Amino acid sequence: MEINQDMLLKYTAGQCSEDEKLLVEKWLDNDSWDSIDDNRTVAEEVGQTMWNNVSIDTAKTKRIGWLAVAAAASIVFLCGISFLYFKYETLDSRYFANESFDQTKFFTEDHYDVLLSGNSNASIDLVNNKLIFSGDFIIKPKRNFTLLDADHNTLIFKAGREYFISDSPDFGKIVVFQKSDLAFLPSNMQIKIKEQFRSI
Amino acid sequence: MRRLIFLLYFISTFLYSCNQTAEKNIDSNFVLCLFNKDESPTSFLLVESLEEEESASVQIPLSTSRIREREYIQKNGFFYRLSNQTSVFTRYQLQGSSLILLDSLQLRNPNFETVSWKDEENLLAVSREDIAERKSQARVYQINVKEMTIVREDTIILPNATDEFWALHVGLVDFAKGDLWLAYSFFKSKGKYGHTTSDTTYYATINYDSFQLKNIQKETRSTYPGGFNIIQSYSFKDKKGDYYFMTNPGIALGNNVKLPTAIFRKKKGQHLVDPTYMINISESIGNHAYGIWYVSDGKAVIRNEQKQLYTDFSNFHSVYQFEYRLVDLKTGVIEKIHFPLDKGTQKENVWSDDNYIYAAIDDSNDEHRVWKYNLQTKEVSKGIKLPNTTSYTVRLDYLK
Repeated sequence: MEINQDMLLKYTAGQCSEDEKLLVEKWLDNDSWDSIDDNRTVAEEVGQTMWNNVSIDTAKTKRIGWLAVAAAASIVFLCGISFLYFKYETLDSRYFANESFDQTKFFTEDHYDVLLSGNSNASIDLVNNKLIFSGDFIIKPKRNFTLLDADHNTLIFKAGREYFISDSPDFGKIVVFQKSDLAFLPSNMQIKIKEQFRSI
Repeated sequence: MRRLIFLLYFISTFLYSCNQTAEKNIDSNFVLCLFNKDESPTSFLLVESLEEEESASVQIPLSTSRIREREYIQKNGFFYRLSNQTSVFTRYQLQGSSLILLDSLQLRNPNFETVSWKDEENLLAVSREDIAERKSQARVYQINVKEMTIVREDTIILPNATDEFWALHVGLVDFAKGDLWLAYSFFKSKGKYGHTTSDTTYYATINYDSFQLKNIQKETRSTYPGGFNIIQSYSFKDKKGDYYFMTNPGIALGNNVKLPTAIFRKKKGQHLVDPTYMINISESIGNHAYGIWYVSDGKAVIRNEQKQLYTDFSNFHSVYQFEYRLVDLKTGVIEKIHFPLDKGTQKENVWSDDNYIYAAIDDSNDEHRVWKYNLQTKEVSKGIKLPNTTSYTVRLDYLK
């Protein structure tokens, strides 16, 4: 059985069989190029064409009645209020520490997972949007949030991404690298990061 | 996390496919390796030509483990890759718009330091072996890629490691007149993640039949010869068969910045590097460079950093700082090519024919495009525009 676009579509819709699900997850975790066997032709500048079409379609949209607009706005407003209320209820502030010299320590929380390297600690305050840390860690946000570090730099975290954070003087200053940024570091640095965080 | 990344990618490709006019099976001549925005999976973009009017292309998604996606060897449309998880060496072929896994081979090392082609079918690949107290040990493989067999593999201890600088980097490998030639240097760790390279380069000549060291030549004019050439090119042979290579002591590779980036030469049939030949790039342009590509007519392109535009490793890869220059290998004269400033460390993104130099550039307007330099008129013009979903164009490979 080979991975193909249909199977991927079913996977995203949660309609895969157990066998298909295992196969797709294996493909996602694999570091080989066992690519899907069905590829798409992409017209040059197709993205731009798509946005142009959206603009044209928007211009063609017929006038909507004010009553309908007011009703829609009320619903959006109510949803927004309830969302904000829910958000404030669930935000938290946590402190993590790993006193081990060479072992990593993993923490899973409601809004993120954290993997601390040896001799590292991190205080992640989602209520006041503050980050104070020492050492290195990887954070995998489960929701979008922003934190201010000790130097008042704004650090943006997006759900579903993976970030390597370090205050090592070897990088010059506090760094927040996404996984793809690590590919541009010297190979020796990459190897040392991989040795610490085997999941990278 | 991977599911979310994948989902984003899938939605974007699905949206693209909704907009396509017709399926087109292209006869691709080039492949570009794209790191895409929003951490979407890396992809291959297959194109027939690099010209601006190029209208169709095919994208192939690779896996989601992005760190090493650009580390591969491409020859005549075949792709070779070594897994750092399993040490399995694999051979792929582009068939139409699909990447087909043909064969694999188990090695014992997970990383190649440097590779070169002994002939059309035989790959020479060198790995560092970090075995306790044997830190200057390298393993040399000769792999027949057609049969996917290991023709031979040998281990060699390369001399001149010191107590301070004991970690080996083999940066270049060449084969000439029955002998293997390796260029190497030693480095030491600095801090938790940093390193620096010692002031000396060594060139070893090894009898390939007996695998005995014949000669070591010491080089003190520069350090960190070559580099990881499955990421970027650091050497070539010209039409006469003379071998040219560059040293890379800048912060992105050797990190011994007081020594210059330079071009050296080993004449055809010689095992010794020409002690009278050196093009001192750093002295000429005031910056370090990484990457060299042979053009024709005794010229080569280099890609240089600009030290006034980056601060440290936090932004070295992401600022628009990289320039391209044409080096006359005979006179040492270096001319700037007026391409837009580029971003991304160690890119393999330059190709040339008899008339033009082509470079895939990610510019400060977030435009991703191949640019052309006319070797006769010295004019710069636009080539193919790449998808807006691109973040970094890390490779441009000719497939034929």
